[in-house]
Amino acid sequence: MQIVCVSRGTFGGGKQLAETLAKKLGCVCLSREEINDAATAAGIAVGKLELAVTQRRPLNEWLNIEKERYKAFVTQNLADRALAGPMVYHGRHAHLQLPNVSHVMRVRAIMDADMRTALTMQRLGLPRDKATIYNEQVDEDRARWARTVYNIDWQDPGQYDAVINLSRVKADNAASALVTMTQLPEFQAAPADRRQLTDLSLACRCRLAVGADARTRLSDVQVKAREGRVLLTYLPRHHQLAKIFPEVLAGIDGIGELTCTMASTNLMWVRERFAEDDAELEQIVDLASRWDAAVELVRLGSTEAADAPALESALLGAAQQADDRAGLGGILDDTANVELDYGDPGVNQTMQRLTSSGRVGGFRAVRGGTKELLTGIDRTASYSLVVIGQVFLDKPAPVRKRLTRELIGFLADKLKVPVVEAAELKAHYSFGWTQGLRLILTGAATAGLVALVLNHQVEILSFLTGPGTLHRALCAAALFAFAPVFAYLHGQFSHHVLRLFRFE
Amino acid sequence: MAIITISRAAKSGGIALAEALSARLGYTCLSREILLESARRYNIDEEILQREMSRPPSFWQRLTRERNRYLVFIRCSLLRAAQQDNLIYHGHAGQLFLEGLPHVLKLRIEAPLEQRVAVVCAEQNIERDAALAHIRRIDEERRRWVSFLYDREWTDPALYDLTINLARITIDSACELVCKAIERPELLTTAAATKALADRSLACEVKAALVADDQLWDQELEVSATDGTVAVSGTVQSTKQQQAVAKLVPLVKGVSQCQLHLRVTSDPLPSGAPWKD
Amino acid sequence: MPDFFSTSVFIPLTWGTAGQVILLGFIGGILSGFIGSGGAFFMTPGMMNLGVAGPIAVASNITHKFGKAMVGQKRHGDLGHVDKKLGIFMLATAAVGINLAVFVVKHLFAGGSDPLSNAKGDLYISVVFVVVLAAVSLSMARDLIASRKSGDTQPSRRIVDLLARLRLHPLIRFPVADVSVSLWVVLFCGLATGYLAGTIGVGGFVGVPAMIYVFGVPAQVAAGTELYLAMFMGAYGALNYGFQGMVDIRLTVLLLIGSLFGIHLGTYGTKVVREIVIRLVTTSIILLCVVSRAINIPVYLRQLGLVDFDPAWDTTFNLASKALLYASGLTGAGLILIFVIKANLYRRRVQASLVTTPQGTARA
Repeated sequence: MQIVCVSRGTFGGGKQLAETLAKKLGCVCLSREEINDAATAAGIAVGKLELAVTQRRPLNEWLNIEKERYKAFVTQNLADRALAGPMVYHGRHAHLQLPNVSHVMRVRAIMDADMRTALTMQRLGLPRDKATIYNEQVDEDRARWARTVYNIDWQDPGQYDAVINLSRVKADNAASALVTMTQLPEFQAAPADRRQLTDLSLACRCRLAVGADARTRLSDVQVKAREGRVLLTYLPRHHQLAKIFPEVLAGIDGIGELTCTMASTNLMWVRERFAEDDAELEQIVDLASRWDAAVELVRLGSTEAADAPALESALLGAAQQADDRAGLGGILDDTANVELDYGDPGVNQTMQRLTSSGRVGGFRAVRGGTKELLTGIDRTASYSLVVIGQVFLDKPAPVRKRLTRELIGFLADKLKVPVVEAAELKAHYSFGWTQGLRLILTGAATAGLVALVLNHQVEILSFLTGPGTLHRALCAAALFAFAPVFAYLHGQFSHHVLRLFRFE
Repeated sequence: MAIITISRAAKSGGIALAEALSARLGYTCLSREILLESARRYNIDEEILQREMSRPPSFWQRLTRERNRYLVFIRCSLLRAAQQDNLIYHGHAGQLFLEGLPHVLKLRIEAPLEQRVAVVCAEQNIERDAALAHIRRIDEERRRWVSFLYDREWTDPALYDLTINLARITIDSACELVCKAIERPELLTTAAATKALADRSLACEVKAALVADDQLWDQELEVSATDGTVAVSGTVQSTKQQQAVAKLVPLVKGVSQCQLHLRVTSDPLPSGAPWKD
Repeated sequence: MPDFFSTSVFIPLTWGTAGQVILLGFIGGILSGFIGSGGAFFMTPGMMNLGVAGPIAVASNITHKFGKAMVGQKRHGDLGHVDKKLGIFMLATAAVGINLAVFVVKHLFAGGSDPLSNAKGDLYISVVFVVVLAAVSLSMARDLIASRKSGDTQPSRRIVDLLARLRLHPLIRFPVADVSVSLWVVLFCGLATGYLAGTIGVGGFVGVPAMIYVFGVPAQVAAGTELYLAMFMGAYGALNYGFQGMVDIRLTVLLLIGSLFGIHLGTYGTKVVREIVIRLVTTSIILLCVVSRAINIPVYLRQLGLVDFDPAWDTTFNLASKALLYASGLTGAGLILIFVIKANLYRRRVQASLVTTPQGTARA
């Protein structure tokens, strides 16, 4: 079940490379153009989306929804093809469409600028300077596409497993080298990958169904799936559709359980073990309900964790079930609809607690450390806060502390949102004694300043309009200092007041 | 069989790969040795050379030609080592010194930042922020270095034949890949390749002899070589310098014939080196 | 102390006026949080209707904006939404623009308490206000109508496309925003932003769209950079106007009291309503503000002796203008508040997670 994604530039020889490779591997070769045509045929405005990106227009609400639909379409196509057998895809950023599938081989094909220009000149019949400009513009458009759609820098070599320069190598020989690469142990499918592909396909089918239904077409929803449990998150402004979503998704095969959560943002909670009776959980639930957030659980287990084999078998079992169900041709009888288990009582209970308070945002298990967690993160998802609970439990305390700090640093860099340790949660985000005190202090300071200004109007104004250059400069400086101080104090005050009334 | 140059992001595991490759293929693995050899041969303080090669040039140095001298020496040593073939070089800017030779595989090693930071943290037992700063500094120095030499971004994959990201690929697998890659017919050490390397090496030896000379060190002279025939072209400032060139070139080992195309400017500019130490 | 206020350019402040200024700040804050760029279009004319002289209103508002931007910028900066390089480039020209604006205003307003120059200053500010914001709101309205038909709600952009295509060298690269723009285009936009900010205090209306549509900067970065810019421009404006003794610190404080509350609610509002509604509300509010200001123009014209009618009409015009402004502001802010409160109530009432199995049996 090989999946090779070749990212290519215009006239960079990538297409030929991909086709040769597919022939050598004896598998399907799929191109971006084919998928785009299919997406357009399915009613997704791919052309308008591309136009908006190349013309540097910000995407509006409608185009953003089209973008999500387009991504879902591509992912579903790729995942289904990959499940059917080995596949070579060539296009732009296919590997991003299959997140957390560990055996996807990500290759980029490039060519020296001079050779590319020569090829462009030859194929488009352009003079040299025009061809150079043409290529530059194509690259710029592509970079913008990657940034708009996936929020990544496509030039970054870190995104690919290998970058092949085709300037000096024939496509045939490069393809042979890639065949060697596909045989490496790193690019062999693990059972979890198959599971992930099935889940991706399911989630995307749900997303497309929402986009295809006239009632829900314009709603902004995110769909995740894990082991047949589908989670749909929609924005508060679509609340009247809450009852309609289950109807829309009723006909989709493979849904074991559907949860629809209304949330305007996401909150990621990373821990190694989850338990039900937990002060941290209550804090998070409280915060999430104030922020209107869905809570995504991430269990970050180290590779040596004792429960790893158990989890693996649970996953295998689930995969088996899904396959069995698929074999039934989508007819679900009662026996097939067993309660799917997250394979961990703590997680089950935590999820139940979140469900009862309406803040479910999905669950993900990551085995490994910081690196593994970072690779699976969707950089277009909107998180408002990441909370790091107790992780790296098997390490001695100082190492644990260092690793946790490392994790916080990298997450903050990558997601550009606040990342806090669970212990600091109370101090920063809930309303306790400190906040109350601050509210009172800043309130008093603000009131004091206002009273000062209003009680001494004439003095202050005559001071501010007094003659003399030096005096005038002094006035300006006084205003310059006063305005931000007052704004800061009052800003803090109003922030705390609104927090008290749960407006955030 | 071939020559492999490895350019690596700081702490990405490039050295480990170079060593593994060397063990597997039986190739010589060189990095700092080239520098030491140059220092010994041209009688330069090793530390100065080391410093000059690892730091980006200062603004002042961009104006003078001091650094170019060192570059010629190092290139010369590297080309000489390359003539032995079966070489892995993971030192500074190898891909640039050996550019254009057909049997050189230019390799670039990348690794995710978090992986590299973890390596530094564990090695030096420091905090993440310090490790990150350390890595950023080294990367930035190397970047400026390459952009000084070739006016290119050093991470630009077009500078290399193959870029390998060690995020998921292990060192063993990367080894496997490279071994397969150097079996490609394009990379065979053909007679033509050997000759191209020998010619380039000879030209570089002559150039090194010229810049090692106190009188000629800052003259911009072009040297090319074919089968022992060496051609030197450019402008010198006096007939004395012209004579010095004519005297020096035939002394270099391997030069059988020498063609000088020198123009003498009657410019009364001082030919000394005011900034030389 | 009637003697002080009768000879100064400042108005006497009663509890009533103070309350109205706070309300202005609050409404302006809601609108600015909702629309995303400055609430000055409401606050400046609002204060002028309370009897505050135009330049004093502008000066006090710009000082208030300085404080507000400083607080807001810090948050955006933490999120990495500020392109400092772009900010500095725009700033350099915006400073020139502001200076020009301050010079013009000062020149027109040279006589201090002289009613004639007062009227000149007011007329000038009002005309600029009406012309610029009418252009902005009409183009927004046109987009809205156009988008009804196609579903693709893209602003029309003929001039903007022209500017964006103008790739005159030297091109400058802005790393955070990830765009390259011609230096001249940046300078031009900066100048326009600064000039308008200095004159009517609504630079953001030109700056943010310019950054988004002309430069191609992502919307969040544009908003963050604009705040960064506004901070410096506000500082500069505050210093400049402060030096000339035009800042009424009382008004600044009162505005801040209202606006910092309002802005939170306005931002909350954008999360709970659809984009088309946001645009509809924005357009109508700006349009009404423009009309309200336009109604006042004949009064200034009469004071300058350019048209002739019974001075008794002044009050009518003033009243109509005031009514319209308040009507627009209050309806807009009221609508937004209703959205916010409804969403908030709904949020508490509804069961946010609905779990079903394919058989359709709800569990929670």
